[in-house]
Amino acid sequence: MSNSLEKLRKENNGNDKLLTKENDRIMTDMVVYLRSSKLCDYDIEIIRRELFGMIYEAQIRLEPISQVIGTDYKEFCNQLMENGRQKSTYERILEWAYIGVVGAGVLFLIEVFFTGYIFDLMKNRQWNMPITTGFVLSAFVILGAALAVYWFFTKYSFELSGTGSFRYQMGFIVGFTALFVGIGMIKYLLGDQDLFRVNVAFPIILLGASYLLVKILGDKYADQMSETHR
Amino acid sequence: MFDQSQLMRGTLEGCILKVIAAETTYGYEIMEKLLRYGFDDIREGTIYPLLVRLEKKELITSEVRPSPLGPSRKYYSITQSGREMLNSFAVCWKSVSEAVENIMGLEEQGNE
Repeated sequence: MSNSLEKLRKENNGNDKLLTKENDRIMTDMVVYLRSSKLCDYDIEIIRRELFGMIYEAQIRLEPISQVIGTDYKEFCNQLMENGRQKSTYERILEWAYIGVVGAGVLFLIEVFFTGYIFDLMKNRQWNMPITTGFVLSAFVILGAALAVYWFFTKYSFELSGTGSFRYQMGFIVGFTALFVGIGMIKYLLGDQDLFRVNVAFPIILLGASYLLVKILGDKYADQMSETHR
Repeated sequence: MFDQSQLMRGTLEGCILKVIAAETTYGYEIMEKLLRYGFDDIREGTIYPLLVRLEKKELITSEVRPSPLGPSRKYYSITQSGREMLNSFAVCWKSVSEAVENIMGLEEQGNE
């Protein structure tokens, strides 16, 4: 079952299709940039719906978006960030927990299926899986890198889609390549150093249960937030 | 050249509260009223962050209603604290504007 935030996000995704290509591009840049802020996730979707309304009505009146918002879209977004409701500590904890649980879950499943352990399990009924230093370290680096990539794309959304985007794109490619090589080195050098062995079912059950708990708490929180916007 | 935006920022919130106090209304209509009363160069994009701010401070509340033009609109109403803030702004503005009028009425020494 989807929560109020997911429903609103789905409505907004559908609305975006009604905008012209140019208006949709500007709208996307603004929404992506807003995601780099500390604004509540629910409020970002409310703002997104409001922005869509303004832009779509202007589109019907055959007015350019600049007549509604002006030409400095980034400054407009900065004002919204300054004036909007910020994420509570509880929302931030839930957000970090969600990232941690989903990230660890995905990386653990990759480790199970792509390191040859799955053959050990199927052939020899070997339930105890080695957790290596390489896996633990690379998992932390990958999670950190994923957050850094997210931050980079949201913080520089206007610059990345603008005419002078080459410098930013090159910066991203160089940074990403260096990171990819670094993760490969960690796995290669520390991939056979066993830290401990664990029954493969335990992490799966633990991560699955944690995911359910975080999802239920997140849904409840989103529904509470929606009560403040009627 | 005088930077009008600094002066506008402080007064616009009070004026938006006054427009909303008169009747429940939505962003585009507020902008049209402000334009009609002489606020040149106002856009929906100018007032929207202020509406977000006023709502966060619980000076106004909002309600989503269907719109004949397509997407639903957010209609704003003033709250009790909003009315108190508006009254306080009106008193403050009266005193400041009178003082400014008096100062601006001064003859410059060279013109005497």
